[in-house]
Amino acid sequence: MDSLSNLADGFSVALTPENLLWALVGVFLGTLVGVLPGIGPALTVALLLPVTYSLEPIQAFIMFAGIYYGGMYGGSTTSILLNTPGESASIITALEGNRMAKRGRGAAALSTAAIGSFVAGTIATLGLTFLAPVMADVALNFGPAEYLALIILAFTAITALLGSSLVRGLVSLFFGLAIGLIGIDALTGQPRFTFGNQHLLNGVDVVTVAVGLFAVGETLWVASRMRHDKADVEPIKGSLWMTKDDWRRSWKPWLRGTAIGFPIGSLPAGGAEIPTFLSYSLEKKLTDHPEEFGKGAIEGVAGPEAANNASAAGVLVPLLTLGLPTSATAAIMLAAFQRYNIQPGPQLFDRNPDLVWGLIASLYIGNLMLLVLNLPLVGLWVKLLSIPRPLLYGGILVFAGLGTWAQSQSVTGLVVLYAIGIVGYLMRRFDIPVGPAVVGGILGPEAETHFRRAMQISQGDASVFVTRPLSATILAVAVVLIFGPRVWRLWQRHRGGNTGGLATE
Amino acid sequence: MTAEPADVPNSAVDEPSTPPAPSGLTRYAEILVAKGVVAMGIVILIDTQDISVPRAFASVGPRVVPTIVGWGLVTIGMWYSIDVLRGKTAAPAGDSEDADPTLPADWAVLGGLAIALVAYAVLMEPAGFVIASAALFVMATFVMGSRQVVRDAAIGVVVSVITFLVFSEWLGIRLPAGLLEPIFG
Amino acid sequence: METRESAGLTRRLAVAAVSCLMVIGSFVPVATVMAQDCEWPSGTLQLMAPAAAGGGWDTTARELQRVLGEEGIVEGDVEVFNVEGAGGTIGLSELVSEHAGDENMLMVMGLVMIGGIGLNQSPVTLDQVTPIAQLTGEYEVIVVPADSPYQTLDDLIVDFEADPTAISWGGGSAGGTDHLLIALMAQQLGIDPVTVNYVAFSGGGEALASVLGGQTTAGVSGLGEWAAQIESGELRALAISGRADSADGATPVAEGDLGASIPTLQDQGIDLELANWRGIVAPPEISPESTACIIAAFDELNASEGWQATIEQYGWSNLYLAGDEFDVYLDEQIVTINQTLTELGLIG
Repeated sequence: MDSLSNLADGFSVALTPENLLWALVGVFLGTLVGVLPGIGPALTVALLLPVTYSLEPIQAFIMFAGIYYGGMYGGSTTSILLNTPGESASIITALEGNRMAKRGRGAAALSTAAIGSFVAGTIATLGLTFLAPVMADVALNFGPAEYLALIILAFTAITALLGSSLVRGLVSLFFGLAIGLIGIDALTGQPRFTFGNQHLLNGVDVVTVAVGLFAVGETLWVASRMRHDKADVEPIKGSLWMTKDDWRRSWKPWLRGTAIGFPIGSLPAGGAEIPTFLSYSLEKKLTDHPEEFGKGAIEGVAGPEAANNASAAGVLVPLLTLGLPTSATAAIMLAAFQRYNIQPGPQLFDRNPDLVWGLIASLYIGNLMLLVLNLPLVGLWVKLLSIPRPLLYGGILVFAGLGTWAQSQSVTGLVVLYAIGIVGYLMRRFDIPVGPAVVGGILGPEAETHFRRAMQISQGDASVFVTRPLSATILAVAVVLIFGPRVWRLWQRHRGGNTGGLATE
Repeated sequence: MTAEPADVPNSAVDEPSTPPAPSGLTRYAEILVAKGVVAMGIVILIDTQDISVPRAFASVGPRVVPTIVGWGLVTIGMWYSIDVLRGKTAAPAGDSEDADPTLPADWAVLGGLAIALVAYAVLMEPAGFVIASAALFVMATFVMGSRQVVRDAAIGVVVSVITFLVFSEWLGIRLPAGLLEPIFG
Repeated sequence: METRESAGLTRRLAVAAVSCLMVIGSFVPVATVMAQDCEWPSGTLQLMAPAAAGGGWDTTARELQRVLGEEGIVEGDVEVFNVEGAGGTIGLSELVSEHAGDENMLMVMGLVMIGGIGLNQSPVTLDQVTPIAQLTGEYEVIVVPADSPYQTLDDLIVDFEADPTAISWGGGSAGGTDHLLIALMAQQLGIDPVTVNYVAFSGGGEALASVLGGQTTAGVSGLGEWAAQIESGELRALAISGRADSADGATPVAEGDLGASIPTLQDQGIDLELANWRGIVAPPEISPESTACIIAAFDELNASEGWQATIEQYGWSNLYLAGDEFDVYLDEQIVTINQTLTELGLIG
């Protein structure tokens, strides 16, 4: 196979001691910035661009690849430990991961995230190696109508996050949707709900929403009702390492997460968040332990973590094959390509095979490095959880503030963070689930944009959503997912007589 | 614009199956939250009128979705308050290892944290990241019950300085140096 | 509007006065004396890119950072930072409100910022800053996918004139350069700009995908962003927004070989030239001496081989205009763009 020999050449490029060193620097830096809420690989690569001018292009790109993958790892670590997602793609991880950590299963959560990321990253990189041109062609068939259908499908994740009271779940969802309205309208450029404050023109970053609801809200809640009877929470309950049962419950979500994340990541507007939602709701549907969801189910960490890493590899598909930057990081890597006088796009594979295959090979290496770096650290990280509560929560507040400031550069950013934190407190107080708010905040604006774009292109003909085959198919799947279980239950009840108890979830 | 009948007697619609009724205060507070949801919807509906709609061709303008969200909030807020009035109040939010949901809120702690957070926002630009962060850490830990102030202050300062050096000086992410500008340059 | 214009007039008078002084002063060899007297910057030079990392302004800022250092034009450190959002108006307001009088602070800006100010009802405008220089520009291309029935611009225009709304144009943000080009073209063709079906995408990548995938009829973007796809034949470039002849030699026809191979709008009977230009401004309240020093430094930059190489590398066009000339051009641009956006119904 042609790709194989090319890949072998790529490894011979990437495996020189010097290039390995750059990969190591990259994954280290990536992990470091990944933990910081709101500061991601995109900005890091941009900051490092001038530094890399003295490097060979291949060395720079090996380092960038490391930063890119490293950021994904770092984001999930703080999600699990501190309930403070470092990236939007790690928000879902916090839902189950932090619950696991609170129950003394932090090490298992971190391990399944790390191993899942490795598995997903490796399989997705294989996909990048062998399937890239095919994927890219398929991806171009996705227009606004298809994206809207996909987002509606992802919205089904909400059913997995609603909790026991429908109305409370909807309150949360609509709060998220409302926050998502703030900022400049993507289609007409008009400011909306900025109340004259310039800093709101950018909108409220969804990571700020998540950190406010999760970390600040939780801190206020705990502080207001702190348990003083229990001096120490044991950071580790049972085995540090994943148990046999954990493995059994993790491997399928890893693979399913990969299968969802890679193709969606390779779509020009796919992103890393939608796959995490889809993976989460899928795992909740398929698990043998639905009662654990919301309380720390390992599948809810394994699936989304695999999905977000697989989508990270997916993003490189359109970048390398079409020259299409589909994420902020990809856009900066594109700028870096230009800086080195390399024309990314259709001819990149022919013109610069060394570079492309060296980059792909370094993705495999970076992934392995991250696993090797992160697993031994798991034991160290979970010790964080054993520090006295006031110090832990005080640290979380400082950390949340740091991330918000770094991202927004304004007092307004902090005020928004605190306001959302107060809402998070109230939501805990009144048993309103926080998950739907985050889903609404992420998917709401995307749904609106794609809906309006599709309507604009069709000149107001709403039938595009059902007449385009791909869009119609995805919508049909969403409808089945939402109404299928209910219809099934009704039908069963109808057939078998009212056996009672069926209404309970 | 009050959207729900606030004068419905609380006990009238209680269902017999409800678990031990939460205190009247809790229910009152929850209805306030529901009213807040309605109010948020109304604010959105009003402010939607201020969004300028360009004459440029657009099938769906910038006001459509905000209007849907606004009405959604109003409807759901009313539904929520009716639910609460019917006695479906919040189940005690539990499941946090560190918090005991059966305890009443400790307003002194919350007030203290609020002061600490506001101080952080106020200090950030003039005093700089290191001082603001260390101050927040010390105040927050003290409010939450830690009494080893010297140790906490030491931790706060060391962690803030390291964070500042790594992210601002080394990685070039902008954090205010503030009063320590002469040192960190 | 009234107040803005009168403020602009006052400022123009002030500028005129300053330039008179400079003319008088130029009887002695001021330029060299000033260049020697200049101690600019007096500390670390801060360059603000008022946009997210990775875009045109960010790239310009980071390249300036490198070349200013490498060419020894700035001895000390040069730092770049990003203030994201709202067509650069958030960065602009930070420049005006927090950095007035700080001569060690410069901001990259460009055509898009003018539209951003109008769209976002920015309280701060470009009348308040100190213009330094226009540096580079990128011409716009109009493309269709390779399998499109439209072979030439004329083909496309026939259908566009018949039913303007039936042609969807994919490009960057609303009110940005891409949008302006189509609006200006519609005006030239006698089509009401309000009927233009322009679909705004957030980044070059998504707009490109919409054109490649045939979601939109045609696409508009800076040449550089889509050059690879045009070269490989996946996109067919119908027109470029450069100048038909470069008789005056001041402005290149278009960028590089690729640009020269695409017929200009002017060649095809549409009297329109539009470059997505980028420039540099300083905060308000900079003394005329310091302003002259900064301009001298950018004159030096423009003359340097390093900067010329950079411009070539990115396929930009050199549109260097410094000081008063830039100031005048900026004022013209503000008028034209606001007029177009008003006719589009985006501001007003």
